[in-house]
Amino acid sequence: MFEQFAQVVGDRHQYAKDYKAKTGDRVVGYFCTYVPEELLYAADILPVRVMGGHDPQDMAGPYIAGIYCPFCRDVLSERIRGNYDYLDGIVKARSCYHMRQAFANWVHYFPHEYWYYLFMPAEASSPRSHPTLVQWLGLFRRSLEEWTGKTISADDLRRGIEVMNTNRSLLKRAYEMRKNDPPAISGKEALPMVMASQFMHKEEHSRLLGKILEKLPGRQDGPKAGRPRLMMLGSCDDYTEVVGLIEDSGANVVMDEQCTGSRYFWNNVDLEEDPMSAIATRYLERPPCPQKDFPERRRFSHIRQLMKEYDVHGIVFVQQKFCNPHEFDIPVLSKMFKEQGVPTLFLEIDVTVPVGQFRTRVEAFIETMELELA
Amino acid sequence: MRKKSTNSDAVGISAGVSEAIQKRNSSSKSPVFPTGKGAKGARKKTLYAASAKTRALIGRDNILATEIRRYKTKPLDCWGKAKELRDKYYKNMWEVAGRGGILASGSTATPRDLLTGFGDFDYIGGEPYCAYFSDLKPALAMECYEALEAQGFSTDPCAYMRIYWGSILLDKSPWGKAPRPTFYMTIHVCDHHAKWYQFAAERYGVPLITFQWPHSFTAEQLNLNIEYMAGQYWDGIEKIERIVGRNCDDEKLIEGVQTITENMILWARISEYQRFIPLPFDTKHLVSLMVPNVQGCHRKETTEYLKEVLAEMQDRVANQIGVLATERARIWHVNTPPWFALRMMKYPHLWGAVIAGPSAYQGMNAYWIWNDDYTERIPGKTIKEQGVRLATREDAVRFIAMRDYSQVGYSPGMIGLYSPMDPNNRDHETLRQMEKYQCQGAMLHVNRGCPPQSTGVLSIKRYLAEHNLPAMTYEGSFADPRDLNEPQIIDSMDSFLESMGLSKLSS
Repeated sequence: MFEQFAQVVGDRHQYAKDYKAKTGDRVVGYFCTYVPEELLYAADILPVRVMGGHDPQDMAGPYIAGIYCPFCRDVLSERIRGNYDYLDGIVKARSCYHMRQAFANWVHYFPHEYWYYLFMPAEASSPRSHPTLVQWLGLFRRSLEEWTGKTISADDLRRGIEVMNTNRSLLKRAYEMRKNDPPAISGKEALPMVMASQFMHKEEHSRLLGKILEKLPGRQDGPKAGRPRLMMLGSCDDYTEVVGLIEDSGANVVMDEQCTGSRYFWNNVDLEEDPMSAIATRYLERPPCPQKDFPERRRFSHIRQLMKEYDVHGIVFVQQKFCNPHEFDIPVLSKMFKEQGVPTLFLEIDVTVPVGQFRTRVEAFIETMELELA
Repeated sequence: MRKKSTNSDAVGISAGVSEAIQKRNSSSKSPVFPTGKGAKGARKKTLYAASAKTRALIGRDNILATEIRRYKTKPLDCWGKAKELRDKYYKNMWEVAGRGGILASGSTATPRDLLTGFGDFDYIGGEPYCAYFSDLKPALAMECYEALEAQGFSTDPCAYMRIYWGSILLDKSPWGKAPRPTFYMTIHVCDHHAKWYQFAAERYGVPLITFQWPHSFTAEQLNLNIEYMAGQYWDGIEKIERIVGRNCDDEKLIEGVQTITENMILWARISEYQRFIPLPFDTKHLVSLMVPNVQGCHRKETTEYLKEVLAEMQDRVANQIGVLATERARIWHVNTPPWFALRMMKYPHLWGAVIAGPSAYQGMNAYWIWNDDYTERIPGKTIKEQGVRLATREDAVRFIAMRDYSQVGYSPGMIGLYSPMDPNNRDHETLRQMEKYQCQGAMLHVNRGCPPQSTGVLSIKRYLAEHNLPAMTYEGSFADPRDLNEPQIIDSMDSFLESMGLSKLSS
């Protein structure tokens, strides 16, 4: 049912090349889910998320020191290998300095026809953030217009927002179906489903997902009931092996809080508001990445809410090695979960996944939970 | 979520700054970050142009091994004063709250001008405070690390931050119990700083005020960002008013802006004298001499002290008094040195070489601007010299924003740290600084203790190699000795200094 998504994830570069050949449209790589894809769709550009290839050969060594996260080095390695040669441009919204460094190296050593760096405030609750972001979005919009030679009209903007909103709503509907026991969608299906939406044209993804959602209610071959229900917390985790390992070991991953998951699509742009203002609101109010969770924390209460809604029994932290923003939050979250009696498992990930090493720990974690739930 | 904007929305930016960035971006000599079509060609152009100064530096290699001249040397006169002020300022931080004053804490780069309208206050800049642990109280620093690690925190993040958090957990500091500020006020200068004070504020249950500095690549973005920063500073003052329950005295605020700006200029001027041969102050001296300005930049007493340091610097330059009699080569050091192993900064003396950097001390609480043709960064101008009149709070916050913006990717030592597209900029900047400070080689610290500072370091190395300038990288930490292998680095320094054409001096 979900194989097509997994296939696109595996062949993402070919998908983008085929799309480009077929439509003649530009393809832009974006480095963080804080990039407002609405504007790119409005400009008839296909946005594709830039991710690593998990090749054990780290080619980024001469450019980015080993003290930075494997994801940013992997992303640069992919560019060095030439796997992203087809991109016409790249866009980054301000996020952690690890990914900024990967982006800077792309700009510096592999010039593209177009690049843009968009400021994205981290202090979402500051009264200064929204008006500033609206103005920055205006500059970004104009920059796209100058590059493409196409004026982005109010109708284009609305279309861009609708494309994104439709897809986000469908993904959220799919996630809603994971609330039941058994969940209608497994974790190893949900991850490529969301990731594929970051690589495919959203309209195509929405059509495909819409059809799948129609078939799901009577599903017989889905996850089993009565298993421990886990939630994964992390950053740009695209490790299907990890989710597979957890579910093959006897648990159901029913929810996540990561930017390859729910953080990406959780809230929509309000179509009743002025479009640029509404886009700014959406990105400031979306579930925050730890790097954007200031000055008051919003992330923790959002996680607690999700745990309640999805009846989560345990937490798996999937930590990209050296990912500082998440490193800061994990001990504080762990303490919070401990006080609530929620068991946690911490897995630290590099470019490749040491599945064998993790297996014993994952199995022990799930067995302990099974005993407690029995 | 959003509040109605205050009248400080009217805060604008002078046309001068806008023109400045346009001029900078249009100058062929300046680091240019082209966007859109044609970026490829422009980038190529900036990569391989060795200036006459660089060629001269390379040429100087030939005389390194043979020409030894003896310079006069003399201990520093201002050393005692620096230590006295450092101790006095730290003592005050522990006393200010007790007598009804305000104690705030946060990133050192946070404009403490904002506090100057509130009477008696002090401010703990987290970085020098924790560097003090590392340099002078290493056992306590280690206790802090271990206390934090026992709580499940990683060893990867900022080493300063880990000391700070550990000291809170232990309730220990070099001066007794860990200080509990009235509130935290910090710049979101990097992810570490932002979380640093968020966590600390939560532990103590005190308010947190944060500011963010965006990057600019066009004049339009710069205008927008200055407006944003000035607005945040305006809001910051209002938040402080609510926290402490009294109004900001705008006259005192303006006076504070003037004092801090003057001190920042003085420090830039002092740092700039390091370009002379023989090197007037050692790196180890300078990183210690900067402490009173870093922790007490808001004090008039600091102005007098900095004037004394400057006068001594000028005297040493005029009389050719150096720190090493046998100086014959100079090394630029990128990033903060390891505080617990500052002796390493003197090791090249055995080879007749001095370290003229590090870039870090130049950017700390210093005010730099571009020269008229955008080829060199020079100490900033005073408020009076700029012809700016500060009459209101709006004038003050606007001026602070413009002054601080010089630190967002555009001040020596800070290049590449804040500005993400700047490996190129930081490369150029390092080369220019090596030219200005007459350095024939560079040591680049891959600082595990401060990963944001180390972004772009490998790019600098490649760039210097393209210009035939030798450079060595070493992995270490500015505050955690467990991340640094000193004997191994000394070995690397031997090879590096030898590769510069130097040999060890017999005495």
